[in-house]
Amino acid sequence: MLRAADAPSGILGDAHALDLQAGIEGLAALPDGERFCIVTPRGACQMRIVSKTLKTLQQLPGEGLGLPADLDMWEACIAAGDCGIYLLGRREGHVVDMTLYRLDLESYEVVATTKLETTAYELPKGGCGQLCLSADGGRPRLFMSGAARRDGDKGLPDEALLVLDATTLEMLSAHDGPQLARGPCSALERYGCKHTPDGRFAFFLGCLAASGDELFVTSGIVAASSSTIPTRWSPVA
Amino acid sequence: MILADLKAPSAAGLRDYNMPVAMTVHRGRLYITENADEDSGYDDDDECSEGVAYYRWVSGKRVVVLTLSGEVLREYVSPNAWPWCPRMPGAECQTLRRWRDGDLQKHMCDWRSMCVLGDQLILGDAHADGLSALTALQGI
Repeated sequence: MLRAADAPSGILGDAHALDLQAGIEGLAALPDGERFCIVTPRGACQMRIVSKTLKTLQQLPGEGLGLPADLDMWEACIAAGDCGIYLLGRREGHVVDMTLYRLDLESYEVVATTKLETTAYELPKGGCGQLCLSADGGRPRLFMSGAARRDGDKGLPDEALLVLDATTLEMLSAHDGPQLARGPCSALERYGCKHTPDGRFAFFLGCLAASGDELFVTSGIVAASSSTIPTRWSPVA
Repeated sequence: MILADLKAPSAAGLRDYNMPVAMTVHRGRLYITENADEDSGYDDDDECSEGVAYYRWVSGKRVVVLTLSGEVLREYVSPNAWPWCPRMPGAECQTLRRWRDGDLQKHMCDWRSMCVLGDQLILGDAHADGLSALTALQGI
Protein backbone atom coordinates (compact mmCIF):
# COMPACT_ATOMS: atom_id res chain seq x y z
CA MET A 1 0.00 0.00 0.00
CA LEU A 2 1.28 3.41 -0.85
CA ARG A 3 0.80 6.11 1.67
CA ALA A 4 0.80 9.82 1.26
CA ALA A 5 3.71 10.75 3.46
CA ASP A 6 3.22 14.43 2.97
CA ALA A 7 -0.53 14.51 3.12
CA PRO A 8 -1.80 17.62 4.88
CA SER A 9 -2.84 17.34 8.45
CA GLY A 10 -6.25 15.83 8.80
CA ILE A 11 -6.05 13.77 5.65
CA LEU A 12 -4.36 10.47 5.33
CA GLY A 13 -4.51 9.52 1.71
CA ASP A 14 -4.10 5.94 0.70
CA ALA A 15 -3.57 4.95 -2.89
CA HIS A 16 -4.17 1.28 -3.18
CA ALA A 17 -3.64 -0.51 -6.46
CA LEU A 18 -5.87 -3.46 -7.19
CA ASP A 19 -4.93 -6.38 -9.36
CA LEU A 20 -7.82 -5.47 -11.49
CA GLN A 21 -7.49 -4.53 -15.11
CA ALA A 22 -11.01 -3.33 -15.58
CA GLY A 23 -12.05 0.06 -14.37
CA ILE A 24 -14.16 0.66 -11.32
CA GLU A 25 -17.67 1.50 -12.37
CA GLY A 26 -19.22 1.88 -9.00
CA LEU A 27 -18.66 1.75 -5.27
CA ALA A 28 -21.21 1.19 -2.54
CA ALA A 29 -20.76 1.02 1.21
CA LEU A 30 -22.49 -1.88 2.87
CA PRO A 31 -24.68 -1.09 5.86
CA ASP A 32 -22.42 -2.80 8.40
CA GLY A 33 -19.93 0.02 7.93
CA GLU A 34 -17.12 -2.50 7.59
CA ARG A 35 -17.26 -3.39 3.92
CA PHE A 36 -17.88 -1.85 0.59
CA CYS A 37 -18.31 -3.34 -2.83
CA ILE A 38 -16.77 -2.53 -6.16
CA VAL A 39 -18.33 -3.36 -9.44
CA THR A 40 -16.36 -3.62 -12.65
CA PRO A 41 -17.64 -2.91 -16.10
CA ARG A 42 -18.60 -4.45 -19.30
CA GLY A 43 -17.88 -7.89 -20.52
CA ALA A 44 -16.39 -9.22 -17.33
CA CYS A 45 -18.70 -8.15 -14.59
CA GLN A 46 -17.12 -8.78 -11.26
CA MET A 47 -17.96 -7.66 -7.81
CA ARG A 48 -15.40 -7.31 -5.07
CA ILE A 49 -16.03 -6.99 -1.40
CA VAL A 50 -13.40 -4.80 0.21
CA SER A 51 -12.71 -4.00 3.84
CA LYS A 52 -12.41 -0.48 5.15
CA THR A 53 -8.66 -1.05 5.26
CA LEU A 54 -8.87 -1.51 1.48
CA LYS A 55 -8.15 -5.24 1.56
CA THR A 56 -10.04 -7.39 -0.90
CA LEU A 57 -12.16 -9.82 1.08
CA GLN A 58 -13.89 -11.60 -1.77
CA GLN A 59 -13.79 -11.61 -5.52
CA LEU A 60 -17.10 -12.56 -6.99
CA PRO A 61 -17.28 -13.24 -10.71
CA GLY A 62 -20.57 -12.25 -12.19
CA GLU A 63 -21.40 -15.79 -13.27
CA GLY A 64 -20.89 -17.07 -9.74
CA LEU A 65 -23.39 -14.55 -8.52
CA GLY A 66 -25.98 -15.77 -10.96
CA LEU A 67 -25.49 -12.83 -13.27
CA PRO A 68 -25.24 -13.26 -17.01
CA ALA A 69 -21.68 -13.75 -18.21
CA ASP A 70 -22.01 -10.91 -20.65
CA LEU A 71 -23.54 -8.47 -18.22
CA ASP A 72 -22.39 -4.97 -18.98
CA MET A 73 -22.28 -2.75 -15.94
CA TRP A 74 -22.59 0.94 -16.40
CA GLU A 75 -21.17 3.70 -14.39
CA ALA A 76 -22.28 3.94 -10.82
CA CYS A 77 -25.00 1.36 -11.20
CA ILE A 78 -24.61 -0.04 -7.77
CA ALA A 79 -26.25 0.77 -4.49
CA ALA A 80 -26.46 -0.96 -1.16
CA GLY A 81 -28.65 -0.77 1.90
CA ASP A 82 -30.37 -2.90 4.47
CA CYS A 83 -32.34 -4.68 1.76
CA GLY A 84 -29.33 -5.76 -0.21
CA ILE A 85 -26.94 -4.82 -2.95
CA TYR A 86 -28.41 -3.50 -6.18
CA LEU A 87 -26.83 -3.82 -9.57
CA LEU A 88 -28.16 -2.50 -12.82
CA GLY A 89 -26.74 -3.86 -16.02
CA ARG A 90 -27.50 -4.78 -19.55
CA ARG A 91 -26.55 -7.69 -21.72
CA GLU A 92 -23.88 -7.08 -24.29
CA GLY A 93 -25.43 -6.00 -27.54
CA HIS A 94 -28.79 -5.34 -25.97
CA VAL A 95 -29.11 -1.62 -26.11
CA VAL A 96 -32.09 -1.19 -23.88
CA ASP A 97 -32.36 -4.55 -22.21
CA MET A 98 -31.71 -3.41 -18.67
CA THR A 99 -32.08 -5.68 -15.68
CA LEU A 100 -31.95 -4.74 -12.05
CA TYR A 101 -30.62 -7.30 -9.59
CA ARG A 102 -30.91 -7.37 -5.83
CA LEU A 103 -28.26 -9.43 -4.07
CA ASP A 104 -28.21 -10.76 -0.52
CA LEU A 105 -25.87 -8.83 1.74
CA GLU A 106 -24.13 -11.91 3.10
CA SER A 107 -24.32 -14.63 0.46
CA TYR A 108 -24.24 -12.16 -2.43
CA GLU A 109 -26.70 -14.36 -4.28
CA VAL A 110 -29.30 -12.83 -6.51
CA VAL A 111 -32.57 -12.75 -4.60
CA ALA A 112 -34.69 -10.58 -6.88
CA THR A 113 -34.54 -9.32 -10.40
CA THR A 114 -36.65 -7.13 -12.55
CA LYS A 115 -36.31 -6.55 -16.21
CA LEU A 116 -37.06 -2.98 -17.03
CA GLU A 117 -39.54 -2.73 -19.81
CA THR A 118 -37.52 -0.28 -21.78
CA THR A 119 -39.83 0.75 -24.52
CA ALA A 120 -39.68 4.19 -22.98
CA TYR A 121 -36.54 4.18 -20.90
CA GLU A 122 -32.94 3.76 -21.78
CA LEU A 123 -31.38 3.40 -18.42
CA PRO A 124 -29.08 4.63 -17.32
CA LYS A 125 -27.93 7.47 -19.44
CA GLY A 126 -24.43 6.64 -20.52
CA GLY A 127 -21.90 8.08 -18.16
CA CYS A 128 -24.48 9.72 -15.99
CA GLY A 129 -27.05 7.27 -14.85
CA GLN A 130 -27.01 6.33 -11.23
CA LEU A 131 -28.74 4.30 -8.62
CA CYS A 132 -29.29 5.38 -5.09
CA LEU A 133 -31.23 4.12 -2.17
CA SER A 134 -33.35 5.90 0.37
CA ALA A 135 -33.38 3.78 3.46
CA ASP A 136 -34.28 6.30 6.11
CA GLY A 137 -37.61 5.33 7.55
CA GLY A 138 -40.71 4.30 5.73
CA ARG A 139 -40.65 2.25 2.61
CA PRO A 140 -37.11 1.74 1.24
CA ARG A 141 -37.00 3.17 -2.22
CA LEU A 142 -34.55 2.88 -5.03
CA PHE A 143 -34.01 5.81 -7.35
CA MET A 144 -32.65 5.40 -10.82
CA SER A 145 -31.76 8.10 -13.29
CA GLY A 146 -31.50 7.74 -17.00
CA ALA A 147 -32.56 8.93 -20.35
CA ALA A 148 -35.94 8.28 -21.80
CA ARG A 149 -35.86 7.29 -25.42
CA ARG A 150 -36.87 9.98 -27.81
CA ASP A 151 -38.87 7.51 -29.81
CA GLY A 152 -40.43 5.87 -26.81
CA ASP A 153 -44.09 5.33 -27.26
CA LYS A 154 -44.77 6.65 -23.79
CA GLY A 155 -43.68 10.03 -24.96
CA LEU A 156 -41.43 11.00 -22.11
CA PRO A 157 -38.82 13.63 -22.78
CA ASP A 158 -35.12 13.02 -22.54
CA GLU A 159 -34.58 12.67 -18.85
CA ALA A 160 -36.27 10.22 -16.59
CA LEU A 161 -36.22 9.27 -12.97
CA LEU A 162 -37.66 6.00 -11.81
CA VAL A 163 -38.67 5.24 -8.25
CA LEU A 164 -38.87 1.59 -7.26
CA ASP A 165 -39.73 -0.35 -4.17
CA ALA A 166 -36.34 -1.47 -2.88
CA THR A 167 -37.63 -4.81 -1.66
CA THR A 168 -39.83 -6.00 -4.47
CA LEU A 169 -38.23 -3.91 -7.22
CA GLU A 170 -41.73 -2.90 -8.25
CA MET A 171 -41.78 0.40 -10.09
CA LEU A 172 -43.63 2.99 -8.04
CA SER A 173 -43.42 6.00 -10.28
CA ALA A 174 -41.61 7.56 -13.21
CA HIS A 175 -40.83 11.21 -13.64
CA ASP A 176 -39.51 13.26 -16.50
CA GLY A 177 -37.35 16.34 -16.32
CA PRO A 178 -40.06 19.00 -16.68
CA GLN A 179 -42.13 17.24 -14.07
CA LEU A 180 -39.23 17.33 -11.66
CA ALA A 181 -38.62 20.99 -12.34
CA ARG A 182 -42.25 21.76 -11.52
CA GLY A 183 -42.11 19.73 -8.37
CA PRO A 184 -41.01 20.81 -4.94
CA CYS A 185 -37.36 21.36 -5.64
CA SER A 186 -34.78 23.95 -4.81
CA ALA A 187 -31.25 24.60 -5.89
CA LEU A 188 -28.54 24.64 -3.30
CA GLU A 189 -27.69 28.17 -4.16
CA ARG A 190 -24.93 28.56 -1.65
CA TYR A 191 -23.01 25.94 -3.46
CA GLY A 192 -20.64 28.31 -5.21
CA CYS A 193 -23.13 28.81 -7.98
CA LYS A 194 -22.01 31.50 -10.37
CA HIS A 195 -25.26 31.66 -12.26
CA THR A 196 -28.65 32.87 -11.25
CA PRO A 197 -30.98 29.93 -11.45
CA ASP A 198 -34.10 32.11 -11.76
CA GLY A 199 -36.14 29.10 -10.89
CA ARG A 200 -35.58 27.26 -14.13
CA PHE A 201 -33.79 23.97 -13.98
CA ALA A 202 -32.91 21.67 -16.78
CA PHE A 203 -32.66 18.34 -15.14
CA PHE A 204 -29.73 16.46 -16.51
CA LEU A 205 -30.19 13.88 -13.81
CA GLY A 206 -26.54 13.23 -13.41
CA CYS A 207 -25.78 12.05 -9.92
CA LEU A 208 -28.26 11.00 -7.29
CA ALA A 209 -28.12 10.82 -3.52
CA ALA A 210 -30.99 10.33 -1.12
CA SER A 211 -31.52 11.31 2.47
CA GLY A 212 -34.79 10.66 4.19
CA ASP A 213 -37.58 12.03 2.08
CA GLU A 214 -35.31 14.11 -0.06
CA LEU A 215 -33.46 13.30 -3.19
CA PHE A 216 -30.45 15.26 -4.32
CA VAL A 217 -29.82 15.40 -8.03
CA THR A 218 -27.20 17.25 -9.99
CA SER A 219 -29.06 19.29 -12.49
CA GLY A 220 -28.38 22.03 -14.93
CA ILE A 221 -29.71 25.51 -15.19
CA VAL A 222 -31.54 26.68 -18.26
CA ALA A 223 -29.30 28.95 -20.34
CA ALA A 224 -26.22 27.76 -18.50
CA SER A 225 -26.10 24.25 -19.76
CA SER A 226 -22.49 23.67 -18.87
CA SER A 227 -23.08 24.37 -15.23
CA THR A 228 -24.52 21.93 -12.83
CA ILE A 229 -25.71 22.42 -9.33
CA PRO A 230 -27.16 20.01 -6.87
CA THR A 231 -30.85 20.34 -6.37
CA ARG A 232 -32.94 18.84 -3.63
CA TRP A 233 -36.25 17.40 -4.53
CA SER A 234 -38.99 15.84 -2.46
CA PRO A 235 -40.15 12.72 -4.24
CA VAL A 236 -43.83 12.36 -4.62
CA ALA A 237 -43.86 8.58 -4.78
CA MET B 1 7.73 17.98 -15.14
CA ILE B 2 7.86 20.69 -12.53
CA LEU B 3 5.18 23.15 -11.67
CA ALA B 4 7.13 26.06 -13.08
CA ASP B 5 6.82 24.48 -16.53
CA LEU B 6 3.10 24.71 -16.39
CA LYS B 7 1.33 27.76 -17.62
CA ALA B 8 -1.48 29.07 -15.52
CA PRO B 9 -4.88 29.40 -17.13
CA SER B 10 -5.38 32.58 -19.06
CA ALA B 11 -8.26 33.53 -16.85
CA ALA B 12 -6.66 32.70 -13.54
CA GLY B 13 -8.90 31.03 -11.06
CA LEU B 14 -11.62 30.22 -13.51
CA ARG B 15 -11.40 26.53 -13.97
CA ASP B 16 -14.94 25.39 -14.00
CA TYR B 17 -15.73 22.24 -12.12
CA ASN B 18 -18.85 21.60 -14.06
CA MET B 19 -18.93 17.85 -14.29
CA PRO B 20 -20.18 16.16 -11.17
CA VAL B 21 -19.40 12.49 -11.44
CA ALA B 22 -20.50 11.08 -8.12
CA MET B 23 -22.61 12.15 -5.19
CA THR B 24 -23.49 10.56 -1.91
CA VAL B 25 -25.10 11.44 1.39
CA HIS B 26 -23.72 10.26 4.70
CA ARG B 27 -24.65 11.40 8.20
CA GLY B 28 -26.15 14.67 7.11
CA ARG B 29 -23.39 15.57 4.72
CA LEU B 30 -23.51 15.72 0.96
CA TYR B 31 -20.36 14.68 -0.86
CA ILE B 32 -19.89 15.59 -4.50
CA THR B 33 -16.97 14.63 -6.70
CA GLU B 34 -16.43 16.92 -9.64
CA ASN B 35 -14.17 17.17 -12.64
CA ALA B 36 -13.10 20.28 -14.46
CA ASP B 37 -13.08 20.18 -18.18
CA GLU B 38 -9.47 19.53 -19.16
CA ASP B 39 -9.27 22.82 -21.00
CA SER B 40 -11.46 24.98 -18.84
CA GLY B 41 -9.68 28.14 -17.83
CA TYR B 42 -7.34 27.89 -20.81
CA ASP B 43 -7.53 29.40 -24.25
CA ASP B 44 -9.08 27.10 -26.78
CA ASP B 45 -6.10 27.46 -29.05
CA ASP B 46 -3.59 26.90 -26.30
CA GLU B 47 -1.84 23.85 -27.66
CA CYS B 48 0.12 21.97 -25.06
CA SER B 49 2.18 18.87 -24.74
CA GLU B 50 0.69 15.60 -23.69
CA GLY B 51 2.35 15.95 -20.30
CA VAL B 52 0.85 19.35 -19.64
CA ALA B 53 -2.55 18.16 -20.77
CA TYR B 54 -2.25 15.29 -18.35
CA TYR B 55 -1.44 17.65 -15.50
CA ARG B 56 -4.37 19.84 -16.36
CA TRP B 57 -6.59 16.84 -16.28
CA VAL B 58 -5.24 15.43 -13.02
CA SER B 59 -5.37 18.81 -11.35
CA GLY B 60 -8.98 19.32 -12.24
CA LYS B 61 -10.64 17.12 -9.66
CA ARG B 62 -12.19 17.97 -6.37
CA VAL B 63 -14.45 16.62 -3.67
CA VAL B 64 -16.80 19.03 -1.96
CA VAL B 65 -18.47 18.41 1.39
CA LEU B 66 -21.71 20.28 2.03
CA THR B 67 -24.48 20.38 4.54
CA LEU B 68 -27.83 19.23 3.21
CA SER B 69 -28.85 22.86 2.88
CA GLY B 70 -25.95 23.52 0.57
CA GLU B 71 -23.40 25.16 2.80
CA VAL B 72 -19.93 24.23 1.67
CA LEU B 73 -17.87 22.93 4.56
CA ARG B 74 -14.74 21.56 2.97
CA GLU B 75 -13.21 20.83 -0.33
CA TYR B 76 -10.42 18.51 -1.29
CA VAL B 77 -8.62 19.16 -4.53
CA SER B 78 -6.36 16.92 -6.53
CA PRO B 79 -2.61 17.49 -6.72
CA ASN B 80 -1.40 20.62 -8.48
CA ALA B 81 -4.80 22.20 -8.49
CA TRP B 82 -3.62 25.41 -6.89
CA PRO B 83 -3.35 28.16 -7.79
CA TRP B 84 -5.36 27.49 -10.88
CA CYS B 85 -8.74 26.69 -9.57
CA PRO B 86 -11.11 28.93 -7.65
CA ARG B 87 -11.33 28.46 -3.95
CA MET B 88 -14.82 28.11 -2.63
CA PRO B 89 -15.58 31.02 -0.33
CA GLY B 90 -15.74 30.10 3.30
CA ALA B 91 -14.74 26.51 2.80
CA GLU B 92 -11.78 24.86 4.38
CA CYS B 93 -9.68 23.52 1.58
CA GLN B 94 -7.03 20.88 1.54
CA THR B 95 -4.91 19.71 -1.32
CA LEU B 96 -3.96 16.12 -1.82
CA ARG B 97 -0.23 16.16 -2.19
CA ARG B 98 2.16 13.99 -4.06
CA TRP B 99 2.04 10.39 -3.12
CA ARG B 100 5.14 8.86 -1.64
CA ASP B 101 7.52 7.15 -4.04
CA GLY B 102 6.69 9.59 -6.76
CA ASP B 103 3.60 7.63 -7.56
CA LEU B 104 1.65 10.63 -8.71
CA GLN B 105 2.65 9.99 -12.29
CA LYS B 106 0.88 6.68 -12.08
CA HIS B 107 -2.00 8.03 -10.12
CA MET B 108 -4.69 9.18 -12.46
CA CYS B 109 -7.03 10.83 -9.97
CA ASP B 110 -9.71 9.20 -12.05
CA TRP B 111 -12.38 9.74 -9.48
CA ARG B 112 -15.58 8.47 -11.02
CA SER B 113 -17.20 6.74 -8.10
CA MET B 114 -17.16 7.05 -4.36
CA CYS B 115 -18.67 5.87 -1.14
CA VAL B 116 -18.34 6.84 2.49
CA LEU B 117 -17.42 4.23 5.06
CA GLY B 118 -17.17 5.45 8.63
CA ASP B 119 -14.91 8.48 8.52
CA GLN B 120 -13.36 7.46 5.21
CA LEU B 121 -14.27 8.66 1.80
CA ILE B 122 -13.31 6.03 -0.73
CA LEU B 123 -12.74 7.07 -4.32
CA GLY B 124 -12.57 4.72 -7.26
CA ASP B 125 -9.36 5.54 -9.07
CA ALA B 126 -7.00 4.28 -11.74
CA HIS B 127 -3.31 3.88 -12.25
CA ALA B 128 -1.56 4.62 -15.51
CA ASP B 129 -0.47 1.01 -15.81
CA GLY B 130 -4.06 0.01 -16.39
CA LEU B 131 -4.81 -1.30 -12.95
CA SER B 132 -7.67 0.01 -10.94
CA ALA B 133 -6.99 1.72 -7.66
CA LEU B 134 -8.68 3.08 -4.61
CA THR B 135 -7.96 6.33 -2.88
CA ALA B 136 -9.14 6.83 0.67
CA LEU B 137 -9.45 10.14 2.44
CA GLN B 138 -9.52 9.52 6.15
CA GLY B 139 -10.79 11.75 8.88
CA ILE B 140 -13.26 13.52 6.64
